[in-house]
Amino acid sequence: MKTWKETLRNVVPLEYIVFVDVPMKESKSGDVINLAPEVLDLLAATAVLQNKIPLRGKEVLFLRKVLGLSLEKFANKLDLSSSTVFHWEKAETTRISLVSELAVRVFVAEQLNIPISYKFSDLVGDKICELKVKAV
Amino acid sequence: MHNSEVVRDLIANGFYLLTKHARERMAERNITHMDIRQCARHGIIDLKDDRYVIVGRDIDAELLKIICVYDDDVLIITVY
Repeated sequence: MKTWKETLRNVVPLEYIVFVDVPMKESKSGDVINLAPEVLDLLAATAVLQNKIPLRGKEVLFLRKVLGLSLEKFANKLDLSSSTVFHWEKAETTRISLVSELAVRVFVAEQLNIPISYKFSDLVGDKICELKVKAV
Repeated sequence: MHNSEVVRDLIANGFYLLTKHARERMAERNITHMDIRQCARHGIIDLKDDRYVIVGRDIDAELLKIICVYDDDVLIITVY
């Protein structure tokens, strides 16, 4: 069976995440990503948190879904109303407030065991650039 | 256990692989690994022409359809 490594774009909902060296294998049904299915989701979540990517609606939605939480459960955990989170997510490209962002970052990092360390001032600024994430 | 239920259990517990095509469709529709597991856990599974079709709901109760094959592993070919 043929195997190889490939660079993959647009395999998570955040278009700026590029996975490099992704192990692949061929099959009768098409090219297969030869990794446990949660790996790319977790790597992307880690990249967003550790690279201090501003959290907009689309990042909040992605992180919530990586946790596997419904909108209601996610909002409850953060002591927010469901409608607040709904409006964040609906505004896909609008950054949420820095205070909310910090709460979401700390909560998601804790749930996924992702080590983070930053100061409030680290989060000021709107830089979103292509992120290369090594798959293995 | 019938193969359909084996497939359901494997996906619901995260033991499956994805084609590149399936991953691209997931990205387009904001679907994560956890949505796939949720859909498999409670969805209706059917065998059609050697392919398993699971129709269920994702984490946000949106309708989701998973198409997969089962040889040595469960391989998800596409989702929509």
